Amino acid sequence: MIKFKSKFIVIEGAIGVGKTSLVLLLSKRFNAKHNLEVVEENPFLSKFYDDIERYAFQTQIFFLLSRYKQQLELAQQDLFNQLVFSDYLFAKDRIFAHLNLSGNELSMYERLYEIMVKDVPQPDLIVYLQASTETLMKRIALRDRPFERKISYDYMKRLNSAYEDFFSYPDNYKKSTLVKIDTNNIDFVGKSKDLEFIIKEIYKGDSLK
Amino acid sequence: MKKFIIVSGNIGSGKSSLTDLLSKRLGWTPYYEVVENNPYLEDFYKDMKKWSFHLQIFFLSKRFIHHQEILKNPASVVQDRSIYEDVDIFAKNLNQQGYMDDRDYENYRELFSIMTKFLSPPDLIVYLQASVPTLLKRISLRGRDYEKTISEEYLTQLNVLYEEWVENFNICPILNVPADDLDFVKRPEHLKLITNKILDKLQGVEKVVFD
Repeated sequence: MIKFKSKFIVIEGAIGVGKTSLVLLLSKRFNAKHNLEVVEENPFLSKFYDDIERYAFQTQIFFLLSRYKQQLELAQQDLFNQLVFSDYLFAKDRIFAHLNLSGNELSMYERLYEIMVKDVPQPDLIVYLQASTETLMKRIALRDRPFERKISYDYMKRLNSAYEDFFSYPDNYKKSTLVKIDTNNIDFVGKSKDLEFIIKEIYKGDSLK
Repeated sequence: MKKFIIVSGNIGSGKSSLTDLLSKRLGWTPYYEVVENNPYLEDFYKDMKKWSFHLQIFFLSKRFIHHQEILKNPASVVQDRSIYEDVDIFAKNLNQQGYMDDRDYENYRELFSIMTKFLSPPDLIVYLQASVPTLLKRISLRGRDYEKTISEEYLTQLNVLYEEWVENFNICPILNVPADDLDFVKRPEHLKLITNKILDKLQGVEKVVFD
């Protein structure tokens, strides 16, 4: 039986890549806790996709706050006693902010982010699930969340490259070990050998610590 | 030991004058309101509903940094207007008057409470309590262009919120100064009186004075 040295593992990647599914599979398999991002509660989200320019700032600030609160709750739990899988990294909020905001809105956002990030726990290990924009669009269409129907190919392409940029600078994830996995030809929900492959990859990264 | 006090009160109550005089008399560093141009102010006056959230967030983030600088400064400080008035007076008024919807207001309040949690409170707030006629008189005397459109009604709304604020405030002690009869120019003893009260309050000394 595989045992991880890491106590706090984050699964990241663009919208639709399969973060939540993987966290649920892993936490079940390793009898670990999971910390899932709360998405549907943002009261601005439905309006946001109708008029991005008008509601982007309010939406971003709401997400920043709600992610910050979730991270603080997580930090208060005992991160040293039990393995925790999470389906998002706090810094994700900033990746989206850079896509959706500019000018004064972005600089106000940055000031608030800087203040909050200091309190947020850093994961021991980050698993970055990669996929092409085409793959992501297919997976988003398959899961058909109502508030995601308006997401365009162009937006996803920009998001995908923002993720690639983010994980190409080690400064962005500092103390955490990074494991990148190309998931274009992988179906870890449907095929157990694919899930085993992912677990092995994570284990390899974990042993490097 | 370093002391940090704030002068609070409605527009025209005499905050800057008192900040100025106190800082000279006590030899403390004065911090005046952030005068940096708020890039949303113009848009805000054209469409208050649309831009009230941006305006308040801008003030909040600026004032937060200002407050942090004050805390870092090893010298004793007198500050003109507090960060707390932003949320409980100005944003609340925007919400009550229908210029900031409930969702934005809640979002803002929550952000505010998270951010101010990081800030050590001041040792004392000196609250200048003035009636609306006094406020109007002082505002017209100083003749600032952008204050010309301030109405009696607006000052009254703010005054009501100020009274509530002082009533419920529990972050630090408040020294209540009746500002209607305050006249530093004609009655120099007023400044001395206020200064002594402040120092007493800071030392935790309360005296009984028989007239």
